[in-house]
Amino acid sequence: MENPALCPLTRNPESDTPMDRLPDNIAGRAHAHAHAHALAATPPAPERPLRHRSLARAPVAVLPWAIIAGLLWAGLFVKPQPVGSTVQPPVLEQRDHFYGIALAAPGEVWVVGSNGKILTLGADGRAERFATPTERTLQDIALWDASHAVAVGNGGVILFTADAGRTWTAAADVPRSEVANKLNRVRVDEGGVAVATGEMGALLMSRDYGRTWTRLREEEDVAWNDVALLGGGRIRVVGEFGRILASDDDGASWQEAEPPVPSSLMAVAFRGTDVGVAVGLEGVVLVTRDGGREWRKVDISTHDHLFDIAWDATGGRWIGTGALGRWVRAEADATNWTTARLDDRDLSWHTRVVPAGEFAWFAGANVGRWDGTRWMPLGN
Amino acid sequence: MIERIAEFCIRRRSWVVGSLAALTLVLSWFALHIEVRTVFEDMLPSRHEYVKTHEKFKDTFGGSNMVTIMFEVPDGEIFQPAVLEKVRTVTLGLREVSAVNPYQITSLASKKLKEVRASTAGIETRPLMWPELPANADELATLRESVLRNPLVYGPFVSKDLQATLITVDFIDREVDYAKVFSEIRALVAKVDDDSVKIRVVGDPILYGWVNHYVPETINLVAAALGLTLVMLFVLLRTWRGVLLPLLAGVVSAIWALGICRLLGIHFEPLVIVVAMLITSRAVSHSVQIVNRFDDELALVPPGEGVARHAARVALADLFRPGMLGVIADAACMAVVALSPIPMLQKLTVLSVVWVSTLTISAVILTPVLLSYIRRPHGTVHPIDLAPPLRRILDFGVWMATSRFRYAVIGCSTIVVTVSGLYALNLKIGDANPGSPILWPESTYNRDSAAINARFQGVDRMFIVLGEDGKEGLVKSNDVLLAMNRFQRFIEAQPEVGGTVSIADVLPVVNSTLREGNPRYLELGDTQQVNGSLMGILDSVSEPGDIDRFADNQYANGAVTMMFRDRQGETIRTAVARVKEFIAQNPLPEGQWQLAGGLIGVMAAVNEVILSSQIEAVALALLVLVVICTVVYRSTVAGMLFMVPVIISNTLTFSFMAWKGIGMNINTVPVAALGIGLGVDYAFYIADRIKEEIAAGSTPEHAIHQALHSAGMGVIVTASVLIFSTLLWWGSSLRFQAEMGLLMAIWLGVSAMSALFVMPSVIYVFRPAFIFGHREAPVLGRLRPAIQPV
Repeated sequence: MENPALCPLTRNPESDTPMDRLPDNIAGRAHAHAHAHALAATPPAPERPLRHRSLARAPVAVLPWAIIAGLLWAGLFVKPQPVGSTVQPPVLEQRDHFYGIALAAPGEVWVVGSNGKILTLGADGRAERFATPTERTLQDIALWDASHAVAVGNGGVILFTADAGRTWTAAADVPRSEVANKLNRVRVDEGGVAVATGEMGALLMSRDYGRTWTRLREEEDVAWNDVALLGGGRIRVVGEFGRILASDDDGASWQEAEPPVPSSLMAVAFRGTDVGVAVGLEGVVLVTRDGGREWRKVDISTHDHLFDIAWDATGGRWIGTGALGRWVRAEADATNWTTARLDDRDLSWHTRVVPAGEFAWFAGANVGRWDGTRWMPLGN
Repeated sequence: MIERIAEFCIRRRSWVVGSLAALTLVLSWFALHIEVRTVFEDMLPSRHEYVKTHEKFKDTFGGSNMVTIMFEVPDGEIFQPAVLEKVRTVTLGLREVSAVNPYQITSLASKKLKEVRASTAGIETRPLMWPELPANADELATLRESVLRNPLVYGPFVSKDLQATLITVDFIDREVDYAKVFSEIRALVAKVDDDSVKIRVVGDPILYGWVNHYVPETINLVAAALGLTLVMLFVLLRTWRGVLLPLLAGVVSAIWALGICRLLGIHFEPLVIVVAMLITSRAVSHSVQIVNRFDDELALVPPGEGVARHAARVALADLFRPGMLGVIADAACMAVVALSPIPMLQKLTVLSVVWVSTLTISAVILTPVLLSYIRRPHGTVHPIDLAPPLRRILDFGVWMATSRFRYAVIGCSTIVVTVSGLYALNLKIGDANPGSPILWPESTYNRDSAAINARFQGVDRMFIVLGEDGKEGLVKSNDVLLAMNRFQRFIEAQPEVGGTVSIADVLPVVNSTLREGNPRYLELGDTQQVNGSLMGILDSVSEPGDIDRFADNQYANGAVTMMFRDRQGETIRTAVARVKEFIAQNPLPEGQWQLAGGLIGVMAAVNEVILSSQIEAVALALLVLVVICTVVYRSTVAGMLFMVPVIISNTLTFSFMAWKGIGMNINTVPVAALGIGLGVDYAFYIADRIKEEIAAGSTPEHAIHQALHSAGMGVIVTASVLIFSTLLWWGSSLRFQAEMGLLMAIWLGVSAMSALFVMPSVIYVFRPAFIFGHREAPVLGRLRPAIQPV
């Protein structure tokens, strides 16, 4: 307790107390000098009141044990847990398939596909996702105008919007089959009319912008794959087994022609009311010139599946798409067809093609634009 | 007590030296037979949940020793007969490589890559390019198309630009010998390697193969470092004893350590050479201190009979306590690493604790005993005297400690510790950069790895398992299939996950094929019934082994395999956290999610173990140090005092690691753990010398001066010598060794600096009682008068 060496701890080190007796400039000199100087015995520090000293010394006594206890505690009980960073899923995901596509505004399309996704995409690569009330895969989308649209998909799900996509609502009481309910395509016409096609003979019609739906035909074991609405109550339908239906009275009565081919027809489109083209599996192309009563098969030089056909009014030509990056094209009379692949190294399938001026949008395993020579996929 | 030991050792010196020589001779026989190799299984914390999953399923779903070989054509496509021929040759040749799992060789030329297609008879599967190569242009075109339309091949095994294709091969973990696999695969690749195709090979067996490949270079570096150490010691100390005795101390302790480890059945990892160097540097350091002290004593007595004996006894007695304390503190701090559940670290701990402990004999006792034999101890071998400049540095240290500058020293040190301590929090667990941190970024391996990761979905894999043993057919259930599908979509959102694959990716292909190839059916069925029948069809058309990488034979467990583009700690942590997040939100009604196998899975386990034990290792090592100092000096303040240099050197070194992007992984952890004890040796010698001087009646100033000019001289000599020789490692072809060399140099430098400049100031300012008090009982009080200068 009498040890003067500890005293500096308890007093201001800067004060010129006897403990600091050594002039600073001494240090570092020849050690004989220092030695001689140091031989002068350390003068004892003036006694301080005992109470002060023990108070000040308390931390010195406690601190080490506190540190030891702290180290022990940290060593035994502190187990950091891994924390990962957060990941924002991209709008266009690797796994997405986009089965349906529709032009929304110049340079902008809406696409639908896996996981209940409805996206708005810009030609510049901008992508945004709308909130939807389903996770079922959506197969097709169609727009009446800037605010009204309808999308259909697996399990008979039908979504509609009346506010340009801000809210999507599932249509209630959609007629269902016990067996299968995938809806493949939807087409719209003026006045809020829409027709959706699908499995088990599903042919559903809405007249109120997609809110309510009624059957146009009884259930049967055939998948209707596409429909064309020609106006004035005229409806043309294509489907499995090469079947083709026609109605001129909004679906009240139907006429069925002899299937010109045995394989499935996947899509149909018309130029005006008379000339139409239907395409299907194994490279089938059928052409009608009488509004869909008589169909004639046209040979094109491919057996790849074709999934869609569209009339490009601006370009005055037909354009279609299918499996393995295939496109088909013909002039307005639909006689001479040319075909090739979008890109030698992109053999993706596409279920939809939508002409948009000098470009055409393709949707399927990926989404992109094609200008007749160059294929520009969006995203990765 | 201490002087009795010293007396005894010097009196019975022939007996001591003789028995140590005999023991060394015996142990050197064992040391020469130590195994040098990397054992993969030692790196795994076997009790960790992920590792258990890995061990259970690695033979089915892919182990962690997968090797990936990429064939890359500079222009054009891989669909050329010459290229495909090479792929086929290597694919077939891989079966002959040792420890290869013949069922896990996958490439275009293997039977495993198949096409599912509709036929008149329903549905069939057909190998893409097995057993024969395409014979003509038509067949080549057909092959190209079937590749392009198969998402399980186009992307995963053939690059999107068609310029590269992969072969992946897996090994039987317990049989794999990295050096052998490395040379066999290199020989196989060399057979087909001409300039037309670029062939790149990556995978852990190759990585560790490269490490082995550089062992001769490493040995040269060790030799060079040793040579430099000896030359510098010779120049600085100017005596043969200053060169030979530290060398002998290093060699003897190495022989003892390796010999004992051979007896304990522990093998030697090539990467651990750094640790060996670190410990040898301790041996040199202790030995130099003793030689230095011996020289100091000689300076005080005139030449005469028995001078060497006397000086040796004093050196032994004086340095016994700080020397032993240094060694024991080092060993005890390292021993803490043994708490790690990773066998490699446990074995390494045994090796290094044994090694360090041998220093008590080889450096602390053998060196002074041998010194006592010297006949004409006075004089120097060469005239170059570098002592004066060194003394000026020491004088600077004395000035810093005893002038008002001491407060600045303490203030600056506090700031440095705080800032570097905060910066050290950025230290990354796991690898901090893409590519392997063991090799330089421009090394062949890392360039190959980057090239493959750029073209493909990722080389390194992790699988997670869904299911439960005994629940046959569980994987066929709708819940499991949908969960897999949703999980894959979820996890692929992370950019570093290049892709995932599971049985839930195969069924949609079957589904679509059944529907005439209509892509609107490229999805799982809605109901159990549909999916069950899809699975049935797949089963009926596949051959044994086809389903292996997706599910086990009973369909009780199924795997989702994720491909990773890099193995950085952050990537793995994020992936695992996301996997857990998904599992928490999507519990399975039946069966369990089981994390996580494959290389990334076990790396995740290792990283988690390292992370969770990081605080533990540092805190317990510090605790051990504090307790040892407290006990030896019978003062808790001593414990606090010696934490100072340790904290300074550790925070600075960890900050350096954080700054240079050196992550804490299985290779760096041992070095970091060893470093904890490293910072303190020099401080022991200085503080103990101050204590002795005070006990002998010096003033504090004189004591500091004496301590710095004797023990401090030893510190400055060993630190400079070792820093220069460890810096030689910067030339290593192994980045890991170069960085660890640099790290050690910094470690030594910082701990020398803190011992020379910070410790005296701290001691002078705070005047701890265990140094300045108890004058009535000087440790060597009775010994002192005999050697006091006249």
